[in-house]
This record gives sequence, C-alpha cells and structure tokens, in this order.
Amino acid sequence: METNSKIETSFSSNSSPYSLHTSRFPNESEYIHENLQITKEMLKVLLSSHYFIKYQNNGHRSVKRVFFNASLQKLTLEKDKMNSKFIFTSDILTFENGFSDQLSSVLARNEFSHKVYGFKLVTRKRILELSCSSEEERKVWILCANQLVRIVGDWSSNNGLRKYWDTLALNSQYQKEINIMQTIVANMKIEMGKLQHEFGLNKNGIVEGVLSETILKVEMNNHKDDEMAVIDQIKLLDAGTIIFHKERSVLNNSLKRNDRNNSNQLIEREFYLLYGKLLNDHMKDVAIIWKNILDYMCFKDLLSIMKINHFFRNQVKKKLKVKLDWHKLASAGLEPRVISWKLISKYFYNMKPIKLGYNLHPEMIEEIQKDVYRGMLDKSSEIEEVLVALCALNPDIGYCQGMQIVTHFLIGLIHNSHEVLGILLMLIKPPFFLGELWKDGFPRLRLAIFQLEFLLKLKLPELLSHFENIDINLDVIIAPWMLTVFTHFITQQNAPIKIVQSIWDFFLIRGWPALIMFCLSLFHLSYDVVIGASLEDTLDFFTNSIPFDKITENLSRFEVDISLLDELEKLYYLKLKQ
Amino acid sequence: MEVDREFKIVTLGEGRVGKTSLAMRYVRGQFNEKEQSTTNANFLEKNIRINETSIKLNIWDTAGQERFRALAPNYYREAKGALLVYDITDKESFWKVVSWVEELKMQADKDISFVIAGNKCDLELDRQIPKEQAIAYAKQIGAAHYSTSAKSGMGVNECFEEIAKLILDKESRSGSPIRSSKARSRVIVKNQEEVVKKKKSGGCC
Repeated sequence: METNSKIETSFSSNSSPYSLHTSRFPNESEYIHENLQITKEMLKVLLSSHYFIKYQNNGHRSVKRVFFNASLQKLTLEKDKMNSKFIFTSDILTFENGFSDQLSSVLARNEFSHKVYGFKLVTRKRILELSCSSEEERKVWILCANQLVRIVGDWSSNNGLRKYWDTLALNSQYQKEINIMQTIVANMKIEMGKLQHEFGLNKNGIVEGVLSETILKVEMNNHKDDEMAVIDQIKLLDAGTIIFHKERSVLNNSLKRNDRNNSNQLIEREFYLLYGKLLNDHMKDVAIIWKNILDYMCFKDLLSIMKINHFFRNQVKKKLKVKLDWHKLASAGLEPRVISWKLISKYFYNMKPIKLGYNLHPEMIEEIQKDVYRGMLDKSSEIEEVLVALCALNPDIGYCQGMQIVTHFLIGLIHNSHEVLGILLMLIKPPFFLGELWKDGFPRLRLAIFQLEFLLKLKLPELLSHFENIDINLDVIIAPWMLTVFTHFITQQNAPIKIVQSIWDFFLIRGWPALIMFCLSLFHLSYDVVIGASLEDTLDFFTNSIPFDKITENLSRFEVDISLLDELEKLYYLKLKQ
Repeated sequence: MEVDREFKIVTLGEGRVGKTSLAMRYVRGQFNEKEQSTTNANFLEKNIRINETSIKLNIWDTAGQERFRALAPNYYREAKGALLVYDITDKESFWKVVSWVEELKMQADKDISFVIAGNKCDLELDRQIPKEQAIAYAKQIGAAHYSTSAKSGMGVNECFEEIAKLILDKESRSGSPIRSSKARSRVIVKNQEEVVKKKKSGGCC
C-alpha cells in the first residue's frame, strides 16, 4: 500500500536499524518525541572531525578527515589541507553498515587482516566506502548522519508538509497550530459551500472529492490499476466524504483505463460548475484550471492545498515564482522553529563565525545596558551581548529602542546569542527591512504609514476618517507594533507567546508585506470597538484590549499584493523628492 | 462629568529620566521599577479641578531616545503645556531639557507653557545638577521648576497641576479661552537632518 507505507515510514524512521541505546544518545522513545530534530550531542558528533579510511574499488586505501561544515550543508572529506572534496548533504541518500560484496572480496583476496568497521556512503551519484576503527564510532556516526540526512530529505520531499502535520498531531503541544489549520480548512469549506449553493450543487465534499481524486491520480502513477488498491486508498481518506470518493475513484479509475481524456473532461466539468465564473471554455488542461483557481486563494489556503501532493506543491511554488519562497514555505512548515527560523532568515546559508564582544562607543553601550537591565527580567547579559554586536556591526543603524524587546523574544526561543545575532543580521536586510525600520529617522516606518494610509483608505475608509476626527496619526498606533515587530504584545500586553510566534512565522515567510497585513488585520479587529469612540477609548483598545486570539483569523482578508506595495513605495519616494 | 476645558500636555526629556513613570504615578498612582522603554508615545488622561474649572488633561508621554525626536512634533503640535523632565543624577539630561526648550520655542504653539521637573529626587545623594542652577534656568525661560520623584510620589501632582494653572492663567490674560482645536492639517514630520542641523547650530549641548 503505497500511501500507507509512506506515512508509516515517516514515523517508523524512529525505529531505524541504526537506533542505539547508549547512554550518550537519546533512546528510542525520546527519539520519537524529537522526531525531526538533531540533538546537541548529535551535532557535536557531526561537526567534529573523524578519521576514516576510504577505499577504492581495487582495495587501495587513504585516510580522510571527515566532518560536516558548520551549517551542516556539506560533508567534507579531506586528505590533507590541499586536497579535499565535499558532498552536499542534500545529495546524500543514506549511510549503511558494511562493505559492498565487491570490496569485501577484494579485501579478502588482498589478505587484508586488520579489523575494520566498514560502512557505505550512498549519494545520488555513487557509493563511497569507508571504514573506522571502532564499532562504537561507526554506530554513532551512522546514527547521527542518517538522522541529518532524514531531516534534509524531509525538508525537500513532497511529503514534507504532510509529515509535518502528522508530527504535530503526535505532539499535543502544537494543538494551537492544528486548531488554526482546522479553522482554515473549515473556512475554506464554508466558502466552497457558498459556491456550491450559488451553482445549485448540494453534494457535500465535492471539492475535497476532486482534490482527493488528484491525489489518487498522482500517487497511483507508480501503481498498478487494481481495484483493491483504490478501495484501500479510499479508506485512508476523510470519513465524511468516503462514499463520494469511492464513487468517483472507481468511476474515474475505469475511465482512466479506457479513455484518459474522458476523465479529464469530467473533472473539468465539475470545476466549471464550481468555478464557472473564473474559467473560460478554452481551458482544456486541468492544470491550467487549477493555476487559475490558485490565483483566487489566499496564502493560507495555498498552504493547506499544498499539502495534498506534489502537483499542488509545484503549482503553488510556480505561483510564488521566486524559488526561495518555496524553500521558505517548506521550512516554515517544519518544527522546530529553532531550526526553521534560522533557515528562513537564510542564517543557515550564510553562517560565518560571528564574533561577540565588540567595541562600541561607551555611551551607546550604556544606553543599551540601561534599557536591557531596567526592563528585561531575564537573559539581560545575552541581550546586551547581541545588541552591542548588532550595533557595532551596523553603525549606520545603531541602537533603537524596541530592538531589545525583539532580541529578548528571540533569545527566549533560540537560547543562543550567536544564533540570535545571526538571525537579526539577516532580518535587518530586505525582504524584512528591520534595519530601515530602526534607522535614524525611521524611513521604513514612514513608508509603512504611507502604505497603510492608502490601504486603509481602500479597505477601511471609515476607520481612517475616525482617526482623523479624533486627531491621531497612524504612527502613534503602529510605531510600537512595527519597531518591536509585535513582540511588545508579550511584554506590555501579556499576549500569549504562541500568537506572536505565529505572527513571526508569517513575517519570516513573507517579509515586509506580512507586517502590513497584520496591521490591517489589527485595524479591522478594532473597527467595531473604536468607530465613534473617544480618543482615549480608541487608544485604549490598541494598548490594552486587542483580542489576540483573533489576529490570525481574518488575515486572509487582508492579503496585500506585493506589487501594490512596491508601487506605493515608488510613489512614496517620488513624493518625498518633490 | 462635565468638562470645561481640555488641555493637551506633552512630556519631553531624555530617555530613562522617568517621563513614563511620572505620568503613570500621576494618572494611575502606580510606580514600576522595571518600566519598559517607551516606543513612540503613550496616551494618558486625567480629569482635575482647578478653581472651579474642571479640566481634562490629555497627556502624551513621549519616547525619550534621541531618534524618536523626529516623531515628537506630532505630539507637541497644538500642545498647551510641556513637562520637561530631567534626571537630577544625570547632567546630560538637563542639557537635553535646554535643547527641548529651544526646539519648542521655535516649533511649538506660541502660548505653550513649560514646567521643568527634576526627577529621581529620591536619589538626592547622587545629585549632579545643583537645584539652584535648575531653578535659575527655569526662571530665565519663564517656567516653573519642581523637584519630583515618581518613586515616592513627591512633587508629581504639583507639577502637573502647575501646568494646568499656567495654561489657565495664559488664557485669562489673553482673554480668549483657547479651545483645543481639531485642525485637520496634516502634520509634516520634520526630517531628521533638520533636527541634527539645528542641534549643531544651536550649540546647546
């Protein structure tokens, strides 16, 4: 059973043949819990140098220093300083115990008598054969390296996102995320329901049916077209739509065997009924239909649709155009954040050893210290360390109040000042623009005000005129949001950390537009309360009574077009010049 | 409650001198030793009564860090009173008050009333600014001076009420009550360069 076994492997990877029960390494039960994580001990093993013997087919040997580089991006095999080769981690398929038969026989023929512990490094192109001097070392190395390979594989595999949700489901601490996801799906269903009503269709789950149909089509490509497989597949699907799936799958399966075009037409017709207004008659290809439908979906729906299969992943990927975006998306879907945030902020790719302990103007150090030690209750010295380095490395930005709150938030999650500094160094650049935001004169904050004023005029005009009536500028409200990237919600309004983390997930994926979207969403939440309210009550809402649990709820309504923001940016700078 | 007058007041001064603490102590009677830095501004409101006139004070408590100065004009425009705060244990913060006075005289409402507050008087032992010097300066610019402590509460009510009194006095002298106007005029936020230029030419620090 193809799908079944796929899902199983995502969990059964825990009980890989390389699992160990040594005191230095997590035992199997911990391993399940830490499903997609490399522990500190493992990292140590991977990053330290190992001296392995490398064999050629003819039995020739050479000693290599083997280690992963700091970003775990590549594995280096070094003969001496002048002579080294590396393999990208993503090209490695697996590490296996033992030599190949061919090499074993060569070694036996050469009457090679030393006791060695051989293993194979299998890459996409070839197999390298290596050995080490103790069994213990081999076990540990293979366990750690394979875990890494598995993680890297998951990140780039078609099933990554699905596996991610499965992992979440195992882990009840992520209940919140799951709930959010379920809400999205539920909302999507309501939307679909409206459409069905509009077009006079009553069949429940028609859309899911078609979606699942596509899953079947893709996943059964490697499969024989036998009836039993189809029924087994159906059993895996959502109980509520089983009957419908069954009907359709069987029907479609038989159609597929006889006439592929017919089945396409069938799907096309259903989509035409559902999305008639979006389609035109000339579209023959289902893919084209889908591409068009994707245009009407918000980012979150895209995320949920992406997990269906690689077809949708590809479509979404194409839609997002920028290659990097896809990588970001996939990474964002994978806990733990400790890894994914680093990855998204590109920190993983640009990891140079970043020194701490910089020299900075004593006045500035004092300024930082005063802020950190008066307001932060914990981790003060780490925050200071990070901020001093950040300001020393970016004298044009300097220290801006608000940075300390962001740093506190990041340290709380990542616990390592070097890494937090690395992330911040990425975040100050585009597409996050935090540097421009914090710079003297707040150039990016002014731009945000300009962009938001325009968007509010478009989407919530009454709110904007209310602000004008009570005579407040937008910057009063949004400056703290922006300058602390919403982290002051935690320190000053006791918002749940999880909420701010999901804001950050989104911020890291989307960059600047995410901040604009959250601002719009917050303004929308304020709408009913503040319209007609006094100056004090209006500001009180924004400083004391934001309903945090609803922030992500209506976010999809405020999807902003990047090109619109770009246009506004151009306009803003033009106006500035005049 | 009927309100006869509504005054906009702004607190200005260097970072960490205790602007937020003073305002919080005055309006809410609270003091937080670990007060976070203000990003941009807080808004607080208090109703008081002076000589049978009920007054609503709209207090804009601004951020003190130098770079937030670029946003300050948003807050002191149309303000009728300014509370200029310095930290008696920090010389620099007093010179910052002087530079604020210069800026307000140039940029703010002509009738704006000043009150200078020497905060953190609970740390009298670490005093760096002689009281006489501060009082003399206040006199010179026609402002009142108060020694305050947000921690103990000393002088807090007095300095805010003094602002209200000064504004009332100015009104009665000029004859026409100043209404808090609700002009729609868009605010032009000053460029940072201008601020820097002014600071340099002023030579106040």
